[in-house]
Order: sequence, then structure tokens, then C-alpha cells
Amino acid sequence: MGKNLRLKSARAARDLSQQELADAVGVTRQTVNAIESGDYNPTIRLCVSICRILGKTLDELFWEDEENEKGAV
Amino acid sequence: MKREQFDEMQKQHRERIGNQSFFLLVTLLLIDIAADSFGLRWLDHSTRIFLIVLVCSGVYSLRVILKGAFQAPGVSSSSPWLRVGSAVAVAVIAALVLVKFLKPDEGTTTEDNGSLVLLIVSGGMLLASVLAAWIKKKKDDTKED
Repeated sequence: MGKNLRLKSARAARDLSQQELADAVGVTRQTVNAIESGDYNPTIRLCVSICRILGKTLDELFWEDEENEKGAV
Repeated sequence: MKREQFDEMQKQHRERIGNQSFFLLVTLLLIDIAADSFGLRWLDHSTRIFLIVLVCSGVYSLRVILKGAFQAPGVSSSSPWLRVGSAVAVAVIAALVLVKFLKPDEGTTTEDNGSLVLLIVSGGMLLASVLAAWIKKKKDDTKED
């Protein structure tokens, strides 16, 4: 699993730190960091919470196709 | 009092580490039984068992701290220190009460150094846990966002 750069850029676009996003969705900063680094595969429930906070769809942040896979490497 | 809610990654880490620590405990106990049956008695029986339990719980605590799964999100950082401090204080008071009021019969005193071993190991585990928590906190603070 590669890095989730789309999540990182969406968070940066909202001017949120990892800690602020983590507080908003009720997880630790380490969990957000692990998701962005590709070290942790979140549940659908957490994905939806993150999408709601960042104003994005699941597709936009978490769908992995060839194009996104290349971008993540 | 509000119950601590660990997040999903913390729960996964705690469950995995808990399972592994339990298997470590069972394995060490079986090895101890096997060693005992071959005549290898390195400590008093009850001390050995307690020592194995102590080591496994110490390993569990250390690994949970290093994985960042010791403290639930939204809990103030001072509370774990308060809990550890109060646990140590209760242990010290209990030890003092036991020594003062329930002094063991001198006739039962042996050359067994089990209590000293347990004291050193538990102190070492506590120190290692505190060190691990401190290192983890420093690492998290300096980690790039």
C-alpha cells in the first residue's frame, strides 16, 4: 500500500494539521499519520468520517486505480 | 467517569500485542515446567511464575506504549503519569504495611532471594516503560506533519 498523497493534499488544502484532523474524526495523530504514510488501512467508517471533514468523496481520497497508484509511489 | 475510547488502529494494536503476549506467557510457563521436570530450578516455584507473568506484562506494556496504543485520543497527557505514580505509591504503602504489621515469622525465613529478583525486575520494567513513553513522545513531537 503506497502513501496516500491525496489525503495529505486535501488536508493541507483545508489548512488542517494532522492533529486537527485527528481530533475532528476522534482518532490519534499517529493514526492519521499512518493512513497518510500507507502503513494503516482504515475502516470504511473512518474513511467516511475523514471524507466528511475534508469535503471529499471516498473515490477522491481512497480509490486506488493505476493512475493514483503511480502518483503514490 | 467517561470511559476511554481507543481508536480503531489502537484497538487492533492492543489486540494483536495482547494475543502475542498471552502466547509468550504460555510458552514461557511451558518451558519453565519442562525445565523444572529436568531438574533445572533457578528460583523458587512461585517466584518463577510471578517473574514470568511480570516479564510478559512488562513486554505487553512496552510494546503498547511504543505503538502509541497506551493512551486513548483526547486524554490529557498528564493522566498516565498520575496513574503510574499512584500505582507506585499504593505499592509502596502496601509493602510498608506488610513489613510493619504482617512481619513474616523468623522461623520461615530462608536464603531465597526471590523477592529481590522480583523487585529488581519490576523496577526495571517500570523504568523501561517510562523511558519508552518518553522516547515515543519525543519522537512524535519531532515527527514532520
